Amino acid sequence: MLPAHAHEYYVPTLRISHPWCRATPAGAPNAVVCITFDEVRAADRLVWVETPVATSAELFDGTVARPVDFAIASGRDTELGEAGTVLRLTGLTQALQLGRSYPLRLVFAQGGEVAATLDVAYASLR
Amino acid sequence: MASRHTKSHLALAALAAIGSSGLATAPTLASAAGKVPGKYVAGDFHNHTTCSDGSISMQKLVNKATTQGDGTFGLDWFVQAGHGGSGNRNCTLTEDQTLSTPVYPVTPQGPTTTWQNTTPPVQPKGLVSGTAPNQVMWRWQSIQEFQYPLIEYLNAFKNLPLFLGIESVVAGHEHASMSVITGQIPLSLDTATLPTAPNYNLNGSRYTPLGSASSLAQWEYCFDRNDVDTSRGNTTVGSASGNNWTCVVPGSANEADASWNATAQKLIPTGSGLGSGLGTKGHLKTLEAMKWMVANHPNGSYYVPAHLERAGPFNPDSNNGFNVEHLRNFNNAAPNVAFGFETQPGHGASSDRGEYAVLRNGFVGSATNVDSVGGTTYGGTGVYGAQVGGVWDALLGEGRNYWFFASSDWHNRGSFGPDDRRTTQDFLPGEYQRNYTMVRNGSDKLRPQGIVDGLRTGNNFAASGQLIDRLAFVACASYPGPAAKSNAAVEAIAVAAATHNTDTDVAGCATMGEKLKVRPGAEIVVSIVVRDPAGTNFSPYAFPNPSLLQIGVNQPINAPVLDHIDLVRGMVGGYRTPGAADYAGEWPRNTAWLRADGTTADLSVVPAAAKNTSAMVVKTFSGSAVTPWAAVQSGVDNTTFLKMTYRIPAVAASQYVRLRGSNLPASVPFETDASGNPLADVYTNASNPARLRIPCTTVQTTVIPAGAPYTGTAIDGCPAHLPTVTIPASGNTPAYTGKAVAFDVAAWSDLWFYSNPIYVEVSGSTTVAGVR
Repeated sequence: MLPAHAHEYYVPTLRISHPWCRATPAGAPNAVVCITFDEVRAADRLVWVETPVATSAELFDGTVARPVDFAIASGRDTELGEAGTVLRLTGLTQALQLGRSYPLRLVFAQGGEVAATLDVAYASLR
Repeated sequence: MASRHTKSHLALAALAAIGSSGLATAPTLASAAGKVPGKYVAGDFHNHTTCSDGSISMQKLVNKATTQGDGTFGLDWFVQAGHGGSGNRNCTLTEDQTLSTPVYPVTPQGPTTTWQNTTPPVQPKGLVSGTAPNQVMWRWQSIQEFQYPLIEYLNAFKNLPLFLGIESVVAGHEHASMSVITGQIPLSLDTATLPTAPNYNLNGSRYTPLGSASSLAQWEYCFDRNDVDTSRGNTTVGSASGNNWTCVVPGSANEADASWNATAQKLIPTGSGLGSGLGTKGHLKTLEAMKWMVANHPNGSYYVPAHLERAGPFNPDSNNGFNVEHLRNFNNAAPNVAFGFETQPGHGASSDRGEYAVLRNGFVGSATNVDSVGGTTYGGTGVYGAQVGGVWDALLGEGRNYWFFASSDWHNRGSFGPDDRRTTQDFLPGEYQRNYTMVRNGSDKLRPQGIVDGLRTGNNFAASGQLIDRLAFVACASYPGPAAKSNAAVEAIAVAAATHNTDTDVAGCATMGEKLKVRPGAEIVVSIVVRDPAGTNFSPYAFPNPSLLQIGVNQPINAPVLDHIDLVRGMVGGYRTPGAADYAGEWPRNTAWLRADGTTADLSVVPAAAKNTSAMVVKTFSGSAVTPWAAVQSGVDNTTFLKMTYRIPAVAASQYVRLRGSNLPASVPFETDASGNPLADVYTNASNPARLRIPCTTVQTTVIPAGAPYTGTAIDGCPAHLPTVTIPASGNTPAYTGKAVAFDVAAWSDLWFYSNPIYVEVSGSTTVAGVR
């Protein structure tokens, strides 16, 4: 569910396409971040997510939250979306307003780190 | 200073023979036969809405770009261009009542509403991609069925020269700004009666246009790398209901090409990884795209690679950037279409200016990422255009018609909203960078054809931060005896042109994008007249320019002053031969060019294909030079212009001259070198705070309430969004801890303009084949 071709980021092992989230109402504690990993040349793991607009990040399967450690298989596209196990920013320090973008630092076990941008691309569902 | 062009049509009178130095009233200009009268008009052709990956509706973007008023930027012409490929958001749903029009009133749904969530739902056509209610719509459909009707309606409703283009995702490369204008904005629109209410019987659109963007939509389907729809522009794949496009190019292999997809009736190069040849196959498809434009829309197309250094060098096995040989290939295949590049990218306020960065790009075949070519921008311009003697001069040194353009590449304002005057990402169209294009419309209104014709001629200059808003750049031949031309005579021609916002039409003289044919031994009299507008520009910052404070110059950021103009001259040696050793060559990669300390190598490490070592600054004009420029008052509106002249003696070989200018003198720490060349922008790129080097020390006292956009224009100190860093001691400069120049402050502090060249073709020397 991506807007038309947008910003891509690269580590040596894979491409990260257009991290995005929905706008959050004031006081909302969390935001789900959607990202597609493609052009995966070597298996890797997303092991750290950091942004100035949240205190931390986690993976959440609807019941259990765990630290960010997300496997990305070689040779196929992998998506973190709004369903199933999601990547969630927690402890939002501000409402994420529609149309804005914020720094998003991603760290991969093999590929290292990349400075990406998180786009607030859609209105809140509520 | 909000630069506001008057649109009056000028009656031109006889030329006064002699001007004079010092303050003088400019004479009026004689009209010679040949050129339809025109004027320089400011525009932008690369920007995004939510139909692409932008953040606002078409209506809001058009309003921001073209309306004259606070927080809007009054461009004279505007091409709305989003990415090719697909998207799932409906950019025709506008944000609020202020943007309502009779046919597109505001609704409860905004521009990030997906097509299928729109009320009533809009169903994407073609190959299904994504899942309901978020299925994507191919851009050919959104352009053809939704964006074009809206832009035609706005064009007529607002009486503004608006039309559509695309920022194409390029097969084999990254992106290019392009359009096919055939069918758009027909003459019949002039006298049409617009509807006064929406037509809700249409499938999501509200207006039945008189024209169409079907040619542009077809191009997008056929040639955009991200459009992998195979439906031929039809309702579904395999259906015969719809556009039934085929993408054959006369004289090409087409169906016999290994990349041809019979279902889609277009080339779809496949393969991935080392040895796949994907990049090469893609480049060949892009050349087919050029040939298609030449065959079908030879006078109604343009193709301008965008931020062409950003994705690194060309990769034969993937989609990365552009080397010089690819630009030559484009210009060879389609000289009237592929006539320039956006080497001055948008994203001017980003944490990496232009979004050019060190180790930015994945690169098949390399264990590590590769830099954007040049590693960063240089005074906001990519290395291809910024480096004297580099790629642009290599192309001009062949005598090509290959012009310099700038764009906003507007997407969003980073951590600020679209109405805020601060930004940590992009400027809006017209706010910071402007293309000033000579459009010869006579007494007619501005139309797409005139604008495209103007871009094609190269009679265009680009300026950031409203550093200048008028330019006359004239070269005249002078011979001994009765045919001698004095400085004053040529200056008078240039003064008249600049003060009337037009160009020259005098025998024996030429301007940007033209060539002056001379005999050997001629003296070339080059006159330049500019207006550095009085007052403030669109910057919201009123505090002293921190870059200039480093050298003791106290100048408000929002009232920049042109410091100097450089005249660059290069020799013309003729077109290079494909396959020859000096045709192709990659710019030095990574630290082979941009070193870890932010310094760069020199042209000695650049391959012959990518440089023209004859190019150099031959003259610098300023107010403090030995022969300073002179002020002259316009006889039209009494504003102040600056005039200056240089004589090139006894030419023996074909050559060109071009201009650049800046508000920054030479030797501004971390901004310019001792020769006035722009340094790498790494020292103001917030992505690496450890490398920031220019203190921003003025304390802000302006109160900006939290939670509301700042819409004023007088922030009196370094804003809160600038990084706080510790800059180590260096030499006699002590360590500093505090705010550093970055983001939009960096861009507003560091302003440049670039002209396009004037060619001089000396008989018996090399023919300037790219210009008639």
